[in-house]
Amino acid sequence: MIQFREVNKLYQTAKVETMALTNINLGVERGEFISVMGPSGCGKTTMLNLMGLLDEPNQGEISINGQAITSYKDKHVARIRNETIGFVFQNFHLISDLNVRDNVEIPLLYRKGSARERRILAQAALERVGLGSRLDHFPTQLSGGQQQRVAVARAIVGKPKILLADEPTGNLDSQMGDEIMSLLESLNRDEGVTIVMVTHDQRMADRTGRLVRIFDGQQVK
Amino acid sequence: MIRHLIRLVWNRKRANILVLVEIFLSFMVLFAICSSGLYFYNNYSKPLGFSHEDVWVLQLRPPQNLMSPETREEGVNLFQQLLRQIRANGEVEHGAGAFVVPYGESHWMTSLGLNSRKLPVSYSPIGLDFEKVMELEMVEGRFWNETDLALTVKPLVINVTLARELFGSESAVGEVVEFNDTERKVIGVVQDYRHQGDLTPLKFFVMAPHILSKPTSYLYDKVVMKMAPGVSTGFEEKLMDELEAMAPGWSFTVQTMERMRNDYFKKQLSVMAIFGLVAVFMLVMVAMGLVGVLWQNVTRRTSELGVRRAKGATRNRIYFQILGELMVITTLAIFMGLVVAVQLPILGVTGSVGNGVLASGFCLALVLIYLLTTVSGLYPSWLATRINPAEALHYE
Amino acid sequence: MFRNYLKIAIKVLLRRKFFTFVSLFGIAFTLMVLIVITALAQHANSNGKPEIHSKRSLHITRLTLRHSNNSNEWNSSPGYKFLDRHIRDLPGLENYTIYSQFNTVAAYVGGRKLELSLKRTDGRYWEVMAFEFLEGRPLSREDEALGRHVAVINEATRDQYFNGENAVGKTLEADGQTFQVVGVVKNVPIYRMAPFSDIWVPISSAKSSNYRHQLGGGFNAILLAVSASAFPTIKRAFADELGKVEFTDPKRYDTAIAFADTKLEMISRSIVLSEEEGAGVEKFAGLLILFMLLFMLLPGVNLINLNMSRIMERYTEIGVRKAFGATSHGLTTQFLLENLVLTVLGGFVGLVLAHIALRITTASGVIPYANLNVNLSVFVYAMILAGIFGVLSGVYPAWRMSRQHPVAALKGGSL
Repeated sequence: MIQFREVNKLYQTAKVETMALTNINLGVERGEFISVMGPSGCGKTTMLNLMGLLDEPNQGEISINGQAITSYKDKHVARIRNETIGFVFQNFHLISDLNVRDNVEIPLLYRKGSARERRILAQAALERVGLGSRLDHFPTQLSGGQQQRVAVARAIVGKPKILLADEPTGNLDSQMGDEIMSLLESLNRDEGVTIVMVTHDQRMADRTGRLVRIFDGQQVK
Repeated sequence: MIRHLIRLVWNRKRANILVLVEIFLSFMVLFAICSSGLYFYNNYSKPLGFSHEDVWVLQLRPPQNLMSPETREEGVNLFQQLLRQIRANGEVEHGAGAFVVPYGESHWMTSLGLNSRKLPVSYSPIGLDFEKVMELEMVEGRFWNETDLALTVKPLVINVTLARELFGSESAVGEVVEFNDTERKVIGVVQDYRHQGDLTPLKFFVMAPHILSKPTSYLYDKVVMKMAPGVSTGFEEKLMDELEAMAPGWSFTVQTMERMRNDYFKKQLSVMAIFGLVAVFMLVMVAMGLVGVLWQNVTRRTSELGVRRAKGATRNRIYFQILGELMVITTLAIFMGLVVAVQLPILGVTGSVGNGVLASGFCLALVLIYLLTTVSGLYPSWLATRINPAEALHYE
Repeated sequence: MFRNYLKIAIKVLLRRKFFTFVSLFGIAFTLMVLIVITALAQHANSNGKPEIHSKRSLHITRLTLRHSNNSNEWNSSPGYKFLDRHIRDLPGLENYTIYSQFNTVAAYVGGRKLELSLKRTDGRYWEVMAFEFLEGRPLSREDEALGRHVAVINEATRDQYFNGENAVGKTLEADGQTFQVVGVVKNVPIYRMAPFSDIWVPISSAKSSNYRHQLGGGFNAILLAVSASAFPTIKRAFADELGKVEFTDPKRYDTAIAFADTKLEMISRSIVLSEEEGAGVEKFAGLLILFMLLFMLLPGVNLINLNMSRIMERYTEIGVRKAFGATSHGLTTQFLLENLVLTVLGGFVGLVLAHIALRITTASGVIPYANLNVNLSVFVYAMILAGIFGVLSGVYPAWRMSRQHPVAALKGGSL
């Protein structure tokens, strides 16, 4: 589903060059639920961003769903970001000016479909995450766990094949964290969504199928 | 500290360029207004050189062109009769024929030469007694009378600015100049006569006697009259009747010079008022915009400011930093303005606005733009000082 | 799609009320000034009474006499003789009229002095234009032929001279002559220069008949074409006529220059000082557009600055949208639309302000007999201006915002 071949990523500021990732070779099969762990600054978020085509590798090749990515320009990757990938962020990143339903509909805005279709899909996604009754609420009116569930709904509303989660439970207490984890597990088990999760929490990592460790930008065993 | 500020501003130049452009444009607007204002005020405060009280302007419209020899002599004779009739009235102290009158819309120009020099001058051909009607002040010499008009070299009166320009501190009376391709002798120097109005400047002015007996001369289209104080509209009607009875084919209209002056001011001031109002609104808009932009700027830099406070910067220092950055940008904008302003006289677009006025306008605009940006920066700077270091650092 | 954009546009505006207020203030004020200017031009140029045929009319208002070998020049309005002789045979005309420019004359009544505008017209004047009569009848071709001392006056003159009582049949003394009033019309605003006056009398009632022999001075003409498509033919024929002018003193002047122009061409010619056939209308339009753009410059930069400073707040939103498949193009559209919402809103406010300003101007009497307001055409122009302003001030910030790298945007943005 996701294939990294000799991927290198470099960060360059005016004076300093940092190797964020070095020679990453990684494959994620369809239907897998893998977690990525490593100390702060080791490059795991960078790897997730690359998987989500939010960033461009300096060297190497990335393939999504069997298709190698040749150009990272917005207009070439936007379609894949929209249809194949869903992202969940540690800070939720919900738009506070919009209500829950409008937030969830965002991915659908960038594909064809009527307003009515969007509403139906958003409703379904929210029900899947257990928030079917909160359509008209605003993010500020929800708890952390509920906000993250909305974010998950937003990520799955377009029925993507891949879900990328960057420390999804990082800002939540253990109970809410467990709820999110269960949600992800059910998505993987029941809908066959391929999930890559970056986490700090060993307990969460243990619930996934495979663990990838990153240290200093390189994959380690 | 200033160098630190400059470095800050330079590092963030991408973001600051648009603010710089806005302040530069505002400064140019201020420069234009201040210069215009000073220019007009400057003109206004100079003496007029004539009296506009109790002066009436009579417009005459004879029916024919009076260029064909047969009708011309008749027309001239009729005019002389009309003038005599006007002067005969006790209410009229003095009367004179004229073409160009103060606050009128005509402005005539020609050239005056001395030796090899030629200067463009405004001029007015006038009849006898014009200087008495307008109460003109002589600086040197006198106006002409009947006998002077019989001389071969006809007389001329010039204004004091022209006299200084041509003859320096020496007397101009008796000098011969070339005027309208003929030789003329200066017999008097008059105080600067600003016939175009209080708000317009005047450089060089010449008054020449208009010789009606010349077959190619036009007939006067106006008669100016100095009235005794306290004359009513009733007299105006009576005078009109008299004149119409004498010259049934002619049209007459009369206006007081006070009225012409009021119209002049109304026109000029309303135009200035509109421009002024528009400019003021624009500047208010700019001030509010700057407040908004700076406010956003401050909230974005909460952590930076928090760090500075944690490292010992006092509230006042923060104030000065935020305001200081703004002042650096403003100063840059003023430099740009200076570059443009200096080009203006070279390009010749400033016309009769003197360099002194431009310089004063520039300085005044400079003060005002600093004032504007300072006032805009006050609230956001105050906000910046309110930032609690601990909170700011936690924000991230 | 657009409804969502609209929704978020409004939310964004409401979130930071101070910014919205400042932006609206600047936009509304800028557009108000431009709308007032547009309204003045529109009213002066419109096809309303009494100039109902202005789309088919050409005006001759200026005559320049020159000499081919020296720099003599005389520039003023045409004379009766010039117009009378060189118009009557032009092709494609349904009608034409010759009338004098208005002069201010004195009328003394009840110990007061009234200053009134007086125009001398032929009978055809009243056929070419459709004045609105409150009393009586217009001047006729017969009045002109017989040199009758009759007059048509406007409502304001009736109020001032006759205290508002019915005026037809009464006598009026003005400019030293006596006239009998035969008609009273509604006031005509001064910006309609052809029909404007307070009193209208036949040309032949003038104190002397010397105007008949004058090539230049004091008169205008309107040519009413059969249809606007006849304009080129008429203009060409008139240009040919100029070659047939007989000069009283050929040593002084031997060339005549005059044009039969539409109203727009007339204005353009006087501002741009053109002597070409096209009246320099393109140049005039260009100057006008340049002026409007220059005027929008400072407010535009102000709005750009405000918009740019708002980008900071919306970085995460930009990053999220991009992560979920928004293209730069889509985001640019979104932000441009948001700005357009703002400027159109400002346009509405500006329209209201302009309307108030125009009504105040009308009421103040500063422009004689003006009746200014915001009408449908002005509304349309205002919306176009708001749109142009929105695009000009929105394109750069929208482009900058949409160009954000998703990763950087999510972190809180780059500079």
